[in-house]
Amino acid sequence: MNKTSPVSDDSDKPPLFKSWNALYAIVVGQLVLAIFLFYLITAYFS
Amino acid sequence: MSPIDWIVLGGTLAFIVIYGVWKTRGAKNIQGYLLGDQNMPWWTIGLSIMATQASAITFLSTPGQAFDDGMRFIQFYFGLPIAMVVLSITFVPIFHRLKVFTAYEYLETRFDLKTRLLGAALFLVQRGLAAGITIYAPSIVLTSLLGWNLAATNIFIGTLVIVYTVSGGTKAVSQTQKHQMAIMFGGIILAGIMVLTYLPKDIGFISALKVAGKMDRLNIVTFNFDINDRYNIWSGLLGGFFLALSYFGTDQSQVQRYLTGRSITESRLGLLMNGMLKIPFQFIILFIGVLIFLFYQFNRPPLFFNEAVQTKVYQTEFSEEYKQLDKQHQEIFNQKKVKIIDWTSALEENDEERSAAIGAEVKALERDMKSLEKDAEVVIGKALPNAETQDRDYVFISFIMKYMPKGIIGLLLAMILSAAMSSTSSELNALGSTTTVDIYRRNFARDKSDLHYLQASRWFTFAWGVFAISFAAFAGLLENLIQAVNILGSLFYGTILGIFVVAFYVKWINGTAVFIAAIIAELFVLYCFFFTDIAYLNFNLIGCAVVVFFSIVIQKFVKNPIKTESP
Repeated sequence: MNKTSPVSDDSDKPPLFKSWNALYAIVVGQLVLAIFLFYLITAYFS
Repeated sequence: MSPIDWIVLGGTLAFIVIYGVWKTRGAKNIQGYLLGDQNMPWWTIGLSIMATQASAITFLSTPGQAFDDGMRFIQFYFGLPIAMVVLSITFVPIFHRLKVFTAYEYLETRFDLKTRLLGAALFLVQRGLAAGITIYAPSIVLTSLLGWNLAATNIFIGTLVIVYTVSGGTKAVSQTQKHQMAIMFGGIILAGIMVLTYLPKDIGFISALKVAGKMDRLNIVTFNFDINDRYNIWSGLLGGFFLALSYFGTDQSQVQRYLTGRSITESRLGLLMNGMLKIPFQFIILFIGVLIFLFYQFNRPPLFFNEAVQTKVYQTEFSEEYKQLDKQHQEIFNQKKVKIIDWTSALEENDEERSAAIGAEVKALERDMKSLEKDAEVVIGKALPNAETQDRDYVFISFIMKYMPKGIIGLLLAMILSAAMSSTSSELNALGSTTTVDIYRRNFARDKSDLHYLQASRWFTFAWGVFAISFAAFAGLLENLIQAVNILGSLFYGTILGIFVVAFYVKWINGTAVFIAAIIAELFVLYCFFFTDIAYLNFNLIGCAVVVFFSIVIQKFVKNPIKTESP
């Protein structure tokens, strides 16, 4: 039951971004933006 | 259902299954069968992760949830993107570096065999039962409305999944999930557009949405802090984060999806894709529930959405009583409809005083209708003691069957069944893998040939499929279906997550301490479930915290040497 090794690229940069941290910030930023928009929708329509 | 619907439904499902089997035929080794030769690109991983989480329950229950309780359920997913980031930083590199087949293999590397077996056993119990519910949920709803045979539907869905999952393993699961997600995305967008066109043309859309908002259906974000409240921003961010971390980080049905990545980068991108798309995806599904709510402000809703049950009540001695309730329901609806039209015109004219006065009247009439619906449930309970008296899961499918045009009905049913198949296939795939790798190979059959383990994996996957179909035959409704699955997950995930958190972050704790702590945590979570009113999302946090706390305390009294191999 042998396994081949996946490409170990832990130090690689993600596509389009300079670092993984930048991409993580985009994901969290999108969440914050979504919550803010949802808050506006909730407030406006209630 | 019309012949064209049958053709669309049958053709779609047949294409997905046949193409999946053909495309992934002839897996020759265990590496290919369990991990798809680890050559998947990030977008396939991302779609596969989303398809695994999106079951038929997602499509049947979620619009009903918004119809009944508003959109606040979306807060349940607020912790998910943060969990995807944490997993990308910590879990993914470790799993890839250690070259594991399952998440639980890592627990033996870090702790000992008994902790690995405990993690695997908790997963097998929880996921094995959940697989049964995943098949049962669409079956009970579809059979009830369409008059299909329940057992036959369970067997049909289960068998289709078994065929391609046993045949092609992980590759077949990922391959079919790409097409299933295409059907799901297409179906849900089409459904949304169709419902939108059914709203009255002479009523402004914004005014209609204001009506929904004032009737608490657009309560997307709620800030009230209450530990017993299931859905608010705090429980969503905290409880949702821990649930997502447990589910995507320690549940083999998800871990196996991103272990197929050809590199750490591909696995990370797949998880982050899920983190970015999940909330918009759920928003669309919930919003359809709000649109259906609006539709039924201008068109009379049934007294009970499972109309097959209504028909049966009319054949009992309670028929007259039910008819009276139905008549009163109709009368109140007619009054409410007139008021709603007045309300929208007051809202369009920005006449706040008039709007507030009409709004109060509409809400009073809404309460009267709800009261009659509760009375109807009591009558149904008396007339048909074995009938399910919750109808929230029938709101969307009942709407599809009554109002959607021919052809679209077949496509939307294909969407629901595709969702059922996509999540079930990942579950069976993971159950088979864990049984083979963590139980069978580790304890009963070491040093056998690759072909032997490949055959064993196929047989275990098949056996779990048969178990899931059998369990589906006996499953009952617990509240509504999506909550049943989430509650079941929350009972076990906190403990499993706690084990992994200790493994990753508290390196001086050994296997015996974490094992005892996990047993204590699981008993404590079960106590909370049976004897307290704590909202189930919090069990994930509680279970995890109890494992970490008791691991630290117990470690002080345990003298076993600490294993040096750690991530």
